[in-house]
Amino acid sequence: MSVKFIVLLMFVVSCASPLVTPEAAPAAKTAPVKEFAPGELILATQLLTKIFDEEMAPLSCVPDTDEASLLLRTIRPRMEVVQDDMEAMLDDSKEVANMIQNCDKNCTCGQVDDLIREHLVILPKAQKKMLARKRNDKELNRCLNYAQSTFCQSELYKQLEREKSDFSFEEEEVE
Amino acid sequence: MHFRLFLFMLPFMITSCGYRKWLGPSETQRRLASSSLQQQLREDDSAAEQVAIEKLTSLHYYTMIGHKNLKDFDEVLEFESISYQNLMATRIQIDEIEEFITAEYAQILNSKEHKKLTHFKSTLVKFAGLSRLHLVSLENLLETLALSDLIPSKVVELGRKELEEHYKSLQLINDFQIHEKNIDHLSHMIDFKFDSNEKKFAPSINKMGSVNGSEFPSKVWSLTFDDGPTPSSLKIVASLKRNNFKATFFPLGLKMGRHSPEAKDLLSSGMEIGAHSYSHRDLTKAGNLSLDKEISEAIQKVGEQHKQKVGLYRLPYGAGMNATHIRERIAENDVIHVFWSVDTLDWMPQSAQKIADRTLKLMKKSSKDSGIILFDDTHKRTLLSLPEVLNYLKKDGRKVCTVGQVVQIMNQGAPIICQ
Repeated sequence: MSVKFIVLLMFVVSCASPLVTPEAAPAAKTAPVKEFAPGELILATQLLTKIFDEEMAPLSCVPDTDEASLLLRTIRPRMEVVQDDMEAMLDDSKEVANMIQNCDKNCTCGQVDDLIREHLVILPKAQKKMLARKRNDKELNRCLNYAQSTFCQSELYKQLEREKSDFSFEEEEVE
Repeated sequence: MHFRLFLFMLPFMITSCGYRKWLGPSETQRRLASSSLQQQLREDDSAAEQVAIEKLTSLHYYTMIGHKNLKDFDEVLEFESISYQNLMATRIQIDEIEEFITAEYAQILNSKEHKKLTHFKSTLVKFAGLSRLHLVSLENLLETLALSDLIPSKVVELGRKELEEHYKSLQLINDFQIHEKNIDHLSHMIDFKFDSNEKKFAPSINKMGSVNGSEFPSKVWSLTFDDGPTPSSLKIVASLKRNNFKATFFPLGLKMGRHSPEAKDLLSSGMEIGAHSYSHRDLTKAGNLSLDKEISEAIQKVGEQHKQKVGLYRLPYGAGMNATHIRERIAENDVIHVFWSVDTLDWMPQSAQKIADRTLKLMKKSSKDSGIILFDDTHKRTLLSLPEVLNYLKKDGRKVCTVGQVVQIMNQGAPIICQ
């Protein structure tokens, strides 16, 4: 084997070896969509709604109602998925029992209660009582206080911040 | 004091802006009216007196409307306020009548008919003698005609209480109500025509290609409903019809089908129909093919089934107006994009009362008492929240128009008659 052939072979091999794997390329093109827990999305939505309705003081990262409105528009596509999932669960009594059982752990009792009322789901007395006990102002305030102190540092907020310009009404004039 | 000076200058400003061309009767019309009055004067003194009294009564009504709005304007001092627009409209009307009477007076003077001159003056004196308020209405006119000596006493500033009492008693008179409505219509026209005679909205990739309600004239609201049709849509339509309101619906393309009774009923309900994408996906994440489906195909599908051209489009979540390619696609389809100024947030599970409270609170925040309200017609809670909102819209001279009607009105400068 001549030296020339070896050099040529090395050149071809080095060029052929991809720096980026074919699988990695599309991933680099489209930013990975970060999934968030339904409880986190629901709580953030409640927090933003409270700020939008001026029932809660603004946060450093959500300084006014306009910003709250923009972030609510931005979070809505994710929330619709959460709501669709929850509405689908309403047909299954085991799932409903599970939702009620765990709603206080992920601050979703208000959402669960509103959905059950709207869809006229008939609950056994014990579950009804449990949900009423869990959905109270004290519980809601505890959840909102937690959200208030963590939202601006959360990954969810950072993601919404990155996406919010797509949902803005402020149009740039095109020449 | 500055505002009074400003008010005094308004007719000159307005004349120089060329408003007369579209606001008042033309010169020919005025001459025709004047000659017909002359004819009447010759034929029948009592008919002439009747015309004169009608003109003077109108002058009095407009003067009282003007004073009321002047007091209101002094409180807010906002040039975009309703009272300011009403003031402009009132001044134009007063100016018209004063010009008409001045022309008549000049004719009588030229004719040197002493009997008619005496009769003219006595009509003025008789009218001025009715009350102090009638005297106020004639102040400028008598000064212009150099007849101030006819005023028995010096006119003084009107007190708020006196004006309010008189205004209240006038509001019971049908004729006065017509004069007020006239000012209302003129006021809207001034609002539209202030900037330019060009179209305000048209399919375009620039700002004129979208409407969000902040541009709406005062006291004009549009109700919009997204994401339908569903069984709730038809109940919403029924509720709107009971109140003689029309709204703009933005249904989804995928819900348009020959086998969808809701779609069929919604499209034939007489409500305005726009398009709201095919499947309600976030278009900022859609490729070219998907954009075709979500914009072009959705518009086509709604239009075909509705058997009417669709002129309005609303992006799902309002997302994508900062993306040039999406704006281009919307403009290419010859539609105007519709945002909103009042977000009811009714997509979230909550009580109907909460939605109604939020909507009314946001509506009351609007400086011009106008805008576009965003609802979804997919939830029972929206339907239940509507009566309170509709009741509010029926009060205080608010008008409910479809978005298309407002766009047309603003482009053409036509008066607002929507319900």
